[in-house]
Amino acid sequence: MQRNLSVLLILAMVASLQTGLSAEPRIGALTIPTGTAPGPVTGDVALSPADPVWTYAVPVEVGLHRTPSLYSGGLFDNGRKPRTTLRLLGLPDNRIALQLTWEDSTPHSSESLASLTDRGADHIYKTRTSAPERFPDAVCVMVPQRRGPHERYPSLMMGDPENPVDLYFWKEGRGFEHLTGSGRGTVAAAGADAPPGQVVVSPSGDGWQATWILPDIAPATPLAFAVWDGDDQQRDGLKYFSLWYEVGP
Amino acid sequence: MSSHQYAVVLDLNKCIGCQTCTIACKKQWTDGDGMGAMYWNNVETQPGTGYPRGYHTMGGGFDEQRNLRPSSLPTAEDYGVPFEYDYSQRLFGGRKKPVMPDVKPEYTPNWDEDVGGFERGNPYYFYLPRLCNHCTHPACLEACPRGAIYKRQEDGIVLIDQERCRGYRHCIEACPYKKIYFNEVTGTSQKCIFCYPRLERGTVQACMAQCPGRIRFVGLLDDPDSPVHKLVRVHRVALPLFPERGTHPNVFYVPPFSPPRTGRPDAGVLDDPRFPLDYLKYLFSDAVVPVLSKLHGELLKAQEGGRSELLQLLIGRTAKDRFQIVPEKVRKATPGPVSDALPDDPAGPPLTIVSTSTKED
Repeated sequence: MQRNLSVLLILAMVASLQTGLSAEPRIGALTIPTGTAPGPVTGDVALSPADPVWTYAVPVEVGLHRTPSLYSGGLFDNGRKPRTTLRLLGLPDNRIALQLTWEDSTPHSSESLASLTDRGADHIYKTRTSAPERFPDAVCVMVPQRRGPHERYPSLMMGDPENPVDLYFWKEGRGFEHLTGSGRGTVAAAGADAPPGQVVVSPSGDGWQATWILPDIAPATPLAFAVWDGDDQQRDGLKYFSLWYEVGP
Repeated sequence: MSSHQYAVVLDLNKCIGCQTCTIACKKQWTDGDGMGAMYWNNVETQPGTGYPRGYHTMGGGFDEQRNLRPSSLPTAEDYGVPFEYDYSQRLFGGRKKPVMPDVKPEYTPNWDEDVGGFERGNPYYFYLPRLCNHCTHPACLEACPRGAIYKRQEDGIVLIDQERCRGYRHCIEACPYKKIYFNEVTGTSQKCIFCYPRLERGTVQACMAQCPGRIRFVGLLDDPDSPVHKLVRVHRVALPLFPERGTHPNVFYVPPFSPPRTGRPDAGVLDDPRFPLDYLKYLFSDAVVPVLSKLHGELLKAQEGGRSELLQLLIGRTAKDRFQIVPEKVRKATPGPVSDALPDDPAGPPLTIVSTSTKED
């Protein structure tokens, strides 16, 4: 009898673990209020972080978490978590502008490719290797491809097969990429017909500031965020990530 | 694990360190943007720091529990910052100063050429060509979270899918030989592709074809007709580099031996070795001792007028003797009986034997 109970307990644990891997339960929504400017706001204006229109958006602190070490002897949680704030601004045509500001003591950690000397075709070394051991800072906002409210959120590990996600990703030195994912290791470039997004990222005070314009964002659409500190050799799943937040009214 | 496995044997007793293989590979594959520090094949003087600098002490591979061992990433300084000589300023720009490198050289591939070691008045060195080992258990493959690295079922070649790679560089950390390089222009990791486009047309790899010392043998490890099978499985005189790293490399080395250090006529290579045995054991494990004994015995046999099949094989007179590139056989071969190699054999776990029914290929 006791053995049967143990087996049942193990099965229940496995079931709950699988549920957790395939989707994230919706435990009390974390909602970000969407600011509304008095007049229509164009995308160009919203992409300008210093524009006064951003005063209509309420800054909300976003809690970031450190992923556990993926490999034996790999990077571990050193307890540091960058202070991160988020502001949302409603735009016409179901678009939103989203501004994420996060701390990074070295926001210029990686030399951009543009600054590598282009030696030209007559030279032996056309473009030099500068720092193969250094990783760029990066940031990403993840949005379920099925917009609007969710009973269960997609997995935080790049979505899941039932709930694929759009990833609006920016990497220092390489710029913006629109990616899709349906689970860890599945990230790929989005198709040409995917809804386009825009992002502008620039150093800001003691860190970075990223401003996205995202299309087709209905109220209560979940959003999740991740930032990578290249100086800490963060890349791949080695990163700071947030839980799901919902676009508020 | 693949059904069949291409492998390479490099006879270190014949390598003259000319770097022809290095340049053949460089010109064929790594002449593009972001590939300045990329040498899929290079030749190092041993004992030496290697390329990238100190790669053999960085870590990687598997521990005894088959977990990936941690490792650091080589830095730009470990590869050496590429430099050029600005001849145009000296010849046409009116500058009188000597032509100097445009970057102060502090490390390069082959930086410590011919430096080697020194012991009790005995300077010694040998050359060690290195390329991707296309391991039977590639640590790089296990480390890649995106599944961008794969081992071809038909011939065991390990490749990186450039479309899937996102430049995380876990593979570089995992490779104990540091034979994967990061291309900052493409943002991807790149490595030796075993010249598979040449191989599939029946043409031997660029580094093999160009080797003037005829030190290189290539073929299917599991094909009884191939020279590598004979050297690794039959004569058992070729050993992998750093076998304790647990990846089961498929590049094997005939270890170097030379006349006794003091030239004593009565001393064998093991009695008075010119290359310290401990160093050879460090590179090739304790298995190097019986190999050296066997090679010495074969040499004595030949010196006494006998015929050594092994030495004849190692001479590798013709390309046909050294290379067995068999695309048709790889395509048509069906798995056969398991070979007699032991699981703890330094040459790796047993592979299936290629069916010999396709000999006419």
